[in-house]
Amino acid sequence: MSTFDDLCALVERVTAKDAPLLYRQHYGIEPDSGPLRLADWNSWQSLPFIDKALLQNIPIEERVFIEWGDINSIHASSGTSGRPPHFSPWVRLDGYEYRKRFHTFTRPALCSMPIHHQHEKFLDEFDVHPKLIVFDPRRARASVELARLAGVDSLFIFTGHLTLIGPEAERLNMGNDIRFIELAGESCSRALYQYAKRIFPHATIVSFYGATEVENPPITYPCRPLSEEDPLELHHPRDGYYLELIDPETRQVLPIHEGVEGEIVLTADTSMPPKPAVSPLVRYRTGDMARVFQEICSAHGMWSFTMLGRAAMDFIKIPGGILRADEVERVLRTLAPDVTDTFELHFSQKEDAGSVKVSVTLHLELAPDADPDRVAREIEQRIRVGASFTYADGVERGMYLPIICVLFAPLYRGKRKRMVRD
Amino acid sequence: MDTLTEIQAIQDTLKSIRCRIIPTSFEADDSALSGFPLHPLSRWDSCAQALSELNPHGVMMRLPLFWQLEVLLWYASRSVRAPVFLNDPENMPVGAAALQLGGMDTVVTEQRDASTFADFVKKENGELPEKWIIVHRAQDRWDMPASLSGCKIAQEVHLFPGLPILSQCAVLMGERSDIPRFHITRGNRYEYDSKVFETASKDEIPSFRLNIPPITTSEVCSCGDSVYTQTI
Repeated sequence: MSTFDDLCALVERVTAKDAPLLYRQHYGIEPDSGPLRLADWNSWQSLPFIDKALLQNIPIEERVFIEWGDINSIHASSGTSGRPPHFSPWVRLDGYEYRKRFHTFTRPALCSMPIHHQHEKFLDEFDVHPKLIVFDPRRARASVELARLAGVDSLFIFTGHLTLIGPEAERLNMGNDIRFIELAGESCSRALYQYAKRIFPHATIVSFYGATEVENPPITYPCRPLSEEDPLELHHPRDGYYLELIDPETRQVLPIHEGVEGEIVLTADTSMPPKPAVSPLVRYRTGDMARVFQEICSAHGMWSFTMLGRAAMDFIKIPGGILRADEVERVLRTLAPDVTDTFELHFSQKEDAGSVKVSVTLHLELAPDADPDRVAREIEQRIRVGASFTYADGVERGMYLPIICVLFAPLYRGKRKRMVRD
Repeated sequence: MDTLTEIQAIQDTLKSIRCRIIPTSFEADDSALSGFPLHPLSRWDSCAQALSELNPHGVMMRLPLFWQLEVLLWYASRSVRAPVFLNDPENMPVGAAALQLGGMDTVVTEQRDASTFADFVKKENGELPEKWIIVHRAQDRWDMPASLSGCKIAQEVHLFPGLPILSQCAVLMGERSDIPRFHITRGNRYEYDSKVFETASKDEIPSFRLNIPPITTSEVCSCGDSVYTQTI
């Protein structure tokens, strides 16, 4: 984790007179004034947060702190309902050294994590041949076939892609060859972990925490592999990153004590590695909730945390696309007067007929004469989870279980959430 | 031995060859899909040459991911110091947004997608990006997409994804004909009499003698290389 001096140096760098205006404007620095100099931790904690909504309003060229020509790639992320995608520039190719603790890389990998050249660069260190095979989630069979021909023994993939790769790996009888799996994007449920171990019994499975807005995406390194006995994914902050936990409603910084839960606020690029970040993030609200597991991990001498989900969750990534709260709301409005647009979506994953499938239960306000099953089928047909992919398409392809609609249970306390991960 | 038999014969040895693997088909559900070995240090040189002529600000790839071209495109884009952006060909709204908000001004796509995407972008953004690299599948007709007249376009013909057999120099890129003209992609050899295209061998990667669709030579370009068109 970064020191106070690291943070001071970063703030001075991003508020320098010749720096892009992003932070100077956000902190209200007058055009003639010099860079911001922090006096103490209080002045650090009084710096206003930034978030995706703020970044989305600033043209990409005005968020670039290095020469444009040095940028390696641009990435799009969605997540804020009803807005265009957010584009994030990345420059770094490093950051995956921790993988060496879990696996000796002598064979190629099948990769769906962005961005592929970054992962090929990681494998270059080991002179691995043939090279990386890119996984195409829309063409799983062909991608896994190429992976078999290349003799891959590791997977760097989004969690949701595991259920696309699993059946093909089974079909090609290559499950025993896989020795390392890194899962990104979403937490791995117990059902999914058990599924993965059934298909890939010899694989060490680790969890990856990153975000598209943060270049060089591994924000953390995994404390240990996932296991049946220790199913919690545990992360440690990496060098060059400073993580705070805040109460998402009061915005107060929370102490790093065992059991404390809060939203992760991230400061990236504090240690000035050989290449500075394209767009350093200072006190960026990730929207991700975490719980402190240990104040000091006996193995790594640093605090560890586990992920809890989104602070204000309005989407859930699933194989084939994204379940979005605003899309559910849109569909429900088309079904009036059978239902209102008030809902609570419960998401889980269940093993069914040898594979893990997405399970959705919608708690709704149903009209007295509305048939819940008919409403559920209508919703399946109309909800889009991808650009040209409905929930019903996923049911037809055996990826999702049919939606179940039930009446709202009475709410006895607290606020109702629209998206709930069971 | 025909081309496919020759390639099929090496499938079981691919995992022990120092190579990069590309698919032998443009279609993921092709039952004859196999892997084809490229030299591990091979680059997409024809694309890099086209990009150097186009001088892009940002390069957006709309080719299917299973074609295995992202890394090769990234190397080509690095040679002109432009970032790459991957756009799922089935997600045109994000592609259009990348042209407006993501710093992209150059589209790398295949001929089958170009017109559809161009029409979408025109409707969504009101204008087309000026720079395109169009990949033709060898077995298709190599027509110039009509929607792109007025754009700067580099065209290539690939036998497999990532194996360009025909490409264009700056002179041919500048032509506005409906029937594009090409050169044999550098580093390879074409035997006009036997109609065989021979890839260069290097290290552990053998040379392959591949059958390609019929092409006709007409003249020599001002760059000095022979010019070819598709025989229809």
